[in-house]
Amino acid sequence: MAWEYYLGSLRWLHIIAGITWIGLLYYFNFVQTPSFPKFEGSSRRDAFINLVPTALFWFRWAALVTMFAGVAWILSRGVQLGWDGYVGSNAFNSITIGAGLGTIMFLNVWLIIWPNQKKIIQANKDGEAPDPAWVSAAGQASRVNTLLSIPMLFFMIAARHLGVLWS
Amino acid sequence: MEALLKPVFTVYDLIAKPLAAVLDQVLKVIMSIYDAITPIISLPFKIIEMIMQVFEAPYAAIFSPIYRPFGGILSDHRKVILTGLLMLGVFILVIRLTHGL
Repeated sequence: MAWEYYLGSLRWLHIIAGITWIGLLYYFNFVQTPSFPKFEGSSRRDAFINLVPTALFWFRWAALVTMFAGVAWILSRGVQLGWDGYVGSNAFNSITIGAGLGTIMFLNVWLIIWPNQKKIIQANKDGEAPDPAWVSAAGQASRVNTLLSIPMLFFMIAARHLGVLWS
Repeated sequence: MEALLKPVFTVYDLIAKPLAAVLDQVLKVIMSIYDAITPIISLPFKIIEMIMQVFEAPYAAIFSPIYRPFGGILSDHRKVILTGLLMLGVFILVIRLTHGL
């Protein structure tokens, strides 16, 4: 009983943080990126100083909470069921693929997107043009994450709702 | 419609306004506790941020060059979505081929 409440709480935390993370990822890719080039220079700079840091704050910390809650959930589930019973199960196979893709996405956020966005925000604050290499690196990692989110979410859902995939 | 709903909302206000006032007080207490412990809570997050910075350069050195050749595809969000769907299709195909069609 206590296990179920614990795992249910972890799952809830993982999902609510994941929605925040991926929601903002889709905002960056489908709303902000195509819209910003249409802004006037001063408006774009204002947005980079006042809007983007807030969006990135929620984005990166939501990614971290999603990752930690997900890892804690898998480890706890393994302990609950016993690793011999869990490893190799349909749920484990799906969650492993989803978690693998999610891990790459998490690392892209913290180790490519955020460091480059920090430099871009600082350049805007200083009234300088950001280095195109920073924009390119952050943009490519962000697009890779959007791409990976499609199979990642499929396998996350399949772990619970599509066991037949492996049978 | 507005006239019909007016008595309903009058009764609703009678209940909701004092309830909102009580809720606001409870929330203020919870938020003051949160504000008091924020420096303690934020410490592990600062440590995480510092640890992550150590891995920035090596990770970017490996993964940025991997992504670079796909820059053309990655610059078009429709191609990004299609590639994601194709990737999913390949995953499912491989699973089905290895587990029997």
